[in-house]
Amino acid sequence: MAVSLTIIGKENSPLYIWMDEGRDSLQLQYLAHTGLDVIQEKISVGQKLPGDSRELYLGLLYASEEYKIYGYTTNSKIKFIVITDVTNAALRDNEIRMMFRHLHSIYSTVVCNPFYVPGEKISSQ
Amino acid sequence: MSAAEDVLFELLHMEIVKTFTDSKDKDDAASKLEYIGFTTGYRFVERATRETNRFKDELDIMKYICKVFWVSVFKKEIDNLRTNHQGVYVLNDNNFRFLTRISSGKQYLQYAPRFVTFTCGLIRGSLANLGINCVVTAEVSHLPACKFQVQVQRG
Amino acid sequence: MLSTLKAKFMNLLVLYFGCLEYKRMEKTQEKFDRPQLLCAPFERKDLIGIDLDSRTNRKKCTGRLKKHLADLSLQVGLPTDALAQYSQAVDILRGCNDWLWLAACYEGLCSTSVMLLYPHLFRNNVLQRYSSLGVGGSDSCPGTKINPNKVRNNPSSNSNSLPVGLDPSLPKQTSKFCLSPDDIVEKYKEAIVHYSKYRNAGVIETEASIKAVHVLIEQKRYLLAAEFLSNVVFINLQLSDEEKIIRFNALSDMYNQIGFHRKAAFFRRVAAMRCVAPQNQDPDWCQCYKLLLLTLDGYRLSLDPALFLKEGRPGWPALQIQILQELVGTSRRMGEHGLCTRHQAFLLSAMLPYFTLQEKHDNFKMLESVSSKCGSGPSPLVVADSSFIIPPVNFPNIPLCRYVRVMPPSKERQVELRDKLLVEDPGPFIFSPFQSIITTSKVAGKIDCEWVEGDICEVTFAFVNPMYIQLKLNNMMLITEGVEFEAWTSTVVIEASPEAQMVILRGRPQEPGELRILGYSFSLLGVASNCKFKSMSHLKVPFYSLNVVPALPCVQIFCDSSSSETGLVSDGALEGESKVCVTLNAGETHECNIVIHNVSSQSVECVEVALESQNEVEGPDKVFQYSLENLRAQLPIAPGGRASLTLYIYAASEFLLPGYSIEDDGMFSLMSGSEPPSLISAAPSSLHSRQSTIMSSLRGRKANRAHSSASNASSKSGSSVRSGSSVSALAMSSINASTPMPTTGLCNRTLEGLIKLSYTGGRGMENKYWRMADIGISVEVAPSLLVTRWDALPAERPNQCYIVLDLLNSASNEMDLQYTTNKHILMQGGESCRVPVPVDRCPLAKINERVRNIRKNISKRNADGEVSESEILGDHVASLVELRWTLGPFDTPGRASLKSLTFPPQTHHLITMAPVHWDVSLNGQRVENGSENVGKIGEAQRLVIGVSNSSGDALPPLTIVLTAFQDHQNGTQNYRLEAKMASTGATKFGVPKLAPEESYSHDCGLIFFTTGIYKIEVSGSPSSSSSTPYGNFQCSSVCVPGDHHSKTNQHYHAWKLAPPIEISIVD
Repeated sequence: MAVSLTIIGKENSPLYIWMDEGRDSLQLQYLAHTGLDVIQEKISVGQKLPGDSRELYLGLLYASEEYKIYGYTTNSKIKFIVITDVTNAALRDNEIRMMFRHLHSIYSTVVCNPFYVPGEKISSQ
Repeated sequence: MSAAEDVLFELLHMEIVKTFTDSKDKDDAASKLEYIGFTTGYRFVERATRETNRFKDELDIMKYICKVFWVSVFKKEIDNLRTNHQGVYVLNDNNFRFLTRISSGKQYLQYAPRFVTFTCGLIRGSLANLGINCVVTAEVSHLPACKFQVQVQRG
Repeated sequence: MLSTLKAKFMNLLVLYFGCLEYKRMEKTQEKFDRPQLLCAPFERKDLIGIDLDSRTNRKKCTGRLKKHLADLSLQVGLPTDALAQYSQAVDILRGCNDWLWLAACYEGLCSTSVMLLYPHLFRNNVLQRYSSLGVGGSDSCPGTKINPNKVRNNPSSNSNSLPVGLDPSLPKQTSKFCLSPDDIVEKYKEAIVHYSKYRNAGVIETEASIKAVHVLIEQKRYLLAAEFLSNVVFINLQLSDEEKIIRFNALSDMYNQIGFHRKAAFFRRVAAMRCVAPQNQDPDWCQCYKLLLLTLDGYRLSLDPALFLKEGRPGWPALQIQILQELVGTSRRMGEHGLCTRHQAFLLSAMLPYFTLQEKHDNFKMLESVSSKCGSGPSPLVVADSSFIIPPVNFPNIPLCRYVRVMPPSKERQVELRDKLLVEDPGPFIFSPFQSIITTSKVAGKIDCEWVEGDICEVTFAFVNPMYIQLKLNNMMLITEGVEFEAWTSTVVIEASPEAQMVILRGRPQEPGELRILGYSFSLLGVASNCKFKSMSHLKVPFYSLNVVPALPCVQIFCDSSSSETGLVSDGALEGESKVCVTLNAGETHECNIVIHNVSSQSVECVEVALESQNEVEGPDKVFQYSLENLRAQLPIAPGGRASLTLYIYAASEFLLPGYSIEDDGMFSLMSGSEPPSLISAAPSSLHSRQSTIMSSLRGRKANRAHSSASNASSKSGSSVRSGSSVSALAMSSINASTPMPTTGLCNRTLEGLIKLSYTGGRGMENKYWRMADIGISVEVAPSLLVTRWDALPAERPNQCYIVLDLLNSASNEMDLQYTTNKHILMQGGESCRVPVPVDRCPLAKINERVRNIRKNISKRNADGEVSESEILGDHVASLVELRWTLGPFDTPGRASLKSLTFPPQTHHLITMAPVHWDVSLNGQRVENGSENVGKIGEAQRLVIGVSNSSGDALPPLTIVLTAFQDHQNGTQNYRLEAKMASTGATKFGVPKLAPEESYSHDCGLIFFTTGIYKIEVSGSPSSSSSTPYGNFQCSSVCVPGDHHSKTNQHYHAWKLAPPIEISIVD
């Protein structure tokens, strides 16, 4: 189970933030926020690493002493960040990837909702 | 899309065009149609690019529009894509779907623009969501061929 | 001084170099069989108990010595040698698991390779930045924001700075040991891994990591650089607080260099927090504050509210709020209350959308408490001992301005530009469907109204309170640009309600020209706020601009009620927009004095007056009259002065009410076509006594006819009307029966008028600006005199006829009516009476002319021509009849008009002059109307019949017939006079065609043989009855047509002399 999940808009403002109960929300937000630096670097134009698969899933962005920060970007420059516990061994790369794909599919459904204006905060009740 | 959905899509488009061009403020009709196309494209491309890898660059995106995107909307690829590598792309569709139902010849040529406005918006909306701000114009010189020109707005 | 220092320094360097070179030479020649073990300080304690003579240890010694030698080679500038020696050392040390020194060798290898591959690295400001690490990161010019691109694009690729012999292409050829760029990173990584095995090697591990990062920056491999940097964070170092701060700052700088601004900000903030950590004995709030300011960029925060709001609020609100709160707290601990207030104000304003209601309240309370110590002015604050400038904070959203209305001057103060050139320049119209992209570049904010110099002007704002707390805005005023403007301050309280509240800000422009309203300013909780429209994107316009016209006078216009009489009410006279109400009797004329009061400081130099009226029936000119010349004579009106305009109000009304009379039961009796209606039904008996002229023939009631003709005959001697003519009167009494007119005359009606005064003066006049003032006048017209019926009857004189009018006094008061110059009657309220008015008959020429004009203008048919003819006659009569009356207790004078009176065709001949004028003389004596002629039996009576054309057109040839008969005075007439009379000369003769004004005369003689009263009829008719172009001239009153005439077709015409010539024959 992930600790935090964030959807970040084109302009790098959060659209949706979910935190596991009882965690230091601000700390996790700092982690997600700094993760954007890595995402930005990874998707920047002109970055043509030989091993770059151009996959939407960006893999592990970085790790802190407690958490691992994973990133994903859509072609429309929406970013997803998932934070997991460093100790969580159940979540391997592939599981994270599937989680992101699922998230992306949910997000595209949200965008197709006529009541949602792209770029606004996503809220659900 | 099944055959029925194909026809439905075309008919729906025709009706939308008709509704707007018949309305009182005709001047607004084009921009409203364009806006409908824009929002449609914006939302649609979000879903359509779900399984697509990250695009390398602008040209990559334009190629996607010409191939995958066009096929998924119009059941065919763009016949010809040209660019000056300075932000101008010209997309030629020799048999544009929304114009195929109109009898060729000069008779209805003057009405052709209203049938391509939606698609201009569709392209613009899709590109906007993919991070390219542009102006899309269309030109119909003989039915049912259509030429879309994408002018990317830099800066 | 400098040169000597330089020289001394050079000297030192040379000595130092010599020293190193000596050491190197010494080491090179040193025997490798028994080298001394070199070791790091912390390794010494590990040496105890180690077999120094073991093979491994000997190799270790050799390897370490080689490494030392390589260091020396590098130091004396022999990188190629150094490379080779490092490589040898690596080979030796790897074998004996001496990880620490192996790592050092790798690092040396990397460094040397970097030197060769990137000779320019560390030679410019990057080096300085690095060296700054030792001094303390806080001095890295804080004012300059680190531009990632600038730093990144700084690979000082000027190979000119290369020392001789160090061409980058050289090392490859000169040394096989030189590492490739990728290998450098690899080896660094390896070195770091080995270092990390030693607890005490943290510092050198950090150093190696940072060196690697620099290399990676040079290689533009930022992701990898980030990995190295994040590794640095994990290195556990025993550091003092100050050192930790330096370390985090250095990390932040590094992250900035690789473009990871968020990371950089994060570590900068960590460094800042270190400054004031709870365990810190000597917290440095000031440094913390400055470091926090440096983090703002990473959180996309700009303390300039305009800039921040404009960027569409990117960033991470939760983190932004956090950092702002830390700024507030830190600045307060610093004792910088001004800064504290400013930060708190910014926090509240900028982060308002992200606050919950409770947070809004908390932050508002917080601002209240911090601002009580120190407010926040409108000027930027400079942070002490630094180059930080904290811009002023505004509250563009507290309260939120929904919309702005630049109010045009109030109605009476509006100006109008005369003689302006109407230049319609809509510009080229370009249609584009892409409105969302192509922004319409119309001149936004141009207000189409004009303010006047020196006048109080208003701008209305609608404010919404987002705080749900009552807001007190002090010193609120407009911010303007352009012409000088005296803005007035006011204190505004915005209630804690979600409804929009209107606020009016006033001011006074001081000079003419263009005025731009940029925004408004106020002070909330001691925070001065200048809110510009351009920073409020929802208002869509950057400013409002309008034109201020030169000063103009302003007047108040009202009715001077003191001079006016009863029934005049003037309300709202002082409001400028006034209205005067008058109640008048129909036909009454009233005089009222309109006062023009100049309330401005400019004098009125020019006026124009126009009149507007909503009345369809009467033109405004008829109701209202005034003298503009009189008013103009009073110009100029000095400031504070007054002028007056006398207005004459005539209560115009419809006085004609045909078919209406007050029956016994008070019911309306409209005419019906079946029976000829009576002119007077239930006529009061008193009427007769007052009647001075013929009435009988108009009696409609057949029952009364005999009586009336008798009374007529008796009462009026010399009446020339035959009783038989009452038939024609019957026929023509259906006056205007076809269209019953509305009974407007009976109830009160209101006439509305608007006096529009345009005036100008002062400098505004030179620029052709005018102002308007108007006063509405409402005249309530009470009914007075009504004409219920009218008819025309022949009069005694041939050039006159009688217009008989049935009049009704519909007022409640007694009325004294004067209907001719010397006749008047008294009528009680509600009473009606009948009066005859002698009227000169209408000359034919007048009609002809009018008819011709009408025909010329509109090709009307003959029938229409006749209608117009009846109107012409009506006008003719109306112009001659004047009914003057005085009414009521004040003897209010008035006059009634017979305008729009029409007559049916049957009566036309009575009113028009005859085309044929008879001039008859008997025995040389002119036969006047009613004159008595006496002749003797047997004497020839000489009769001269003169016919002249008075029609104004040529008359056709006529045949005149003289017919004599004896009137027995008992109703019988004897036409058989063969035995009683003989004639000399023709009794039937032809008259040639007569031109206008031409006349013809005919002589004949008559001899009567018996006594008696004889009468001679003279009648003429056109010779050829078929061609009668004078069909229009039906008859004239002198020529009373025969009984049959009015019933026959129009082709038959006859003109008769009336009355017939009467001759009394005596013995």
